[in-house]
Amino acid sequence: MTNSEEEKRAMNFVMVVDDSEPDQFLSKYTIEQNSPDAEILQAYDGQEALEILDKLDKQPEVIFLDINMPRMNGHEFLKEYSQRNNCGSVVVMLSSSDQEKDKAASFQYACVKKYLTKPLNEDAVAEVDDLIKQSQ
Amino acid sequence: MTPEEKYDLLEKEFEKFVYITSHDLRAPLRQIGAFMDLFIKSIDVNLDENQALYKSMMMECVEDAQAIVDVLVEYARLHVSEQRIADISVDQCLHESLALLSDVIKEKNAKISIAKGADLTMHGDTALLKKAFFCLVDNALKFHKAQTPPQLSIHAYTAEEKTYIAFEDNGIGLAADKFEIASTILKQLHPKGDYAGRGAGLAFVKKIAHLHGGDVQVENKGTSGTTIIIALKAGA
Repeated sequence: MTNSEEEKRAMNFVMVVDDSEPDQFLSKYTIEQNSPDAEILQAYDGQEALEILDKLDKQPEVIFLDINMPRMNGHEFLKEYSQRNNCGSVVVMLSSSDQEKDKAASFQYACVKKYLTKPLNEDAVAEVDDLIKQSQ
Repeated sequence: MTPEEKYDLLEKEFEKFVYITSHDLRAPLRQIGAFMDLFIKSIDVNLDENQALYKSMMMECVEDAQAIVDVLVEYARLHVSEQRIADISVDQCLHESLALLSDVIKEKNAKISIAKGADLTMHGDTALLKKAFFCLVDNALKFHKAQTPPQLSIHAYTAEEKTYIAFEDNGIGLAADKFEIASTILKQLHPKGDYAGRGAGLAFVKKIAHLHGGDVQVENKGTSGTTIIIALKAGA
């Protein structure tokens, strides 16, 4: 990757919300392959994510959000987040299975721009990167 | 509680167990595959012949396990699916279920037609009914004789408030005494690799028929084609 290509990366500030440690690792690894300099925040459920996001002056460009999590799941997070921050970030759902019901429930929130099934791969991250560029 | 009620309760509990375990097994399997991939990439400079073989066999095992778990999840999900109950005609059900098979139909030069009863209706969860039709057509496309394009003739009739739909193909045949095994989830009659699939199609069809108070049976034709008849509640 050339320097000019790196400069074009839109993802500088990212959050991954997932209760699975292996999936956190794999998502972070894949994002870093695309955007080596991105700052990546990690939260292990929706509640923790909200607590972190509430303290930030600037919201991440993108939040990769798992659905099934203890304490506060992805859908509950979306409900709270869309009220609090008027959806300050682009949200990408990261589901373990491709289910129409989950998809429909996710896309009712304007901030949800993509629904991906795990594992996050480099092509999908590149697409998200393009998405962020378009929304900026 | 009557023995029947007890049986139903146990069956429901078991189905829930299968759904939860198979669903929860998916994530660690996927993660093993992903980490294995990363591990191999990190050392994949000059794999010797054996190492390359171990690598491909490991990946194959993971993919195999994932495919089995996927079938189990799909099977268990039949019970928990949100029912959208309506009447649907044989014609509509067939055509909507064919959408995902159009490439294979073209590739195999298959002929599929409704000989009788296209307008007859069935009553039930339309998504599941389409799934049953899909599996039956898919089987006809898979289990055909070499060098003979698959042909499937469908005819439907009603009797005693049920719509019977017969799927008659010109394939390799399914003996009646093998039907029980063939319709058991993940059981395959043929050696792995001879025919595509995981041994799920007929099990799905049988379960969907049972969920609708119906049944499935095979007409014994030995080795000259198969007729599978599915009985479902007739529409209004």
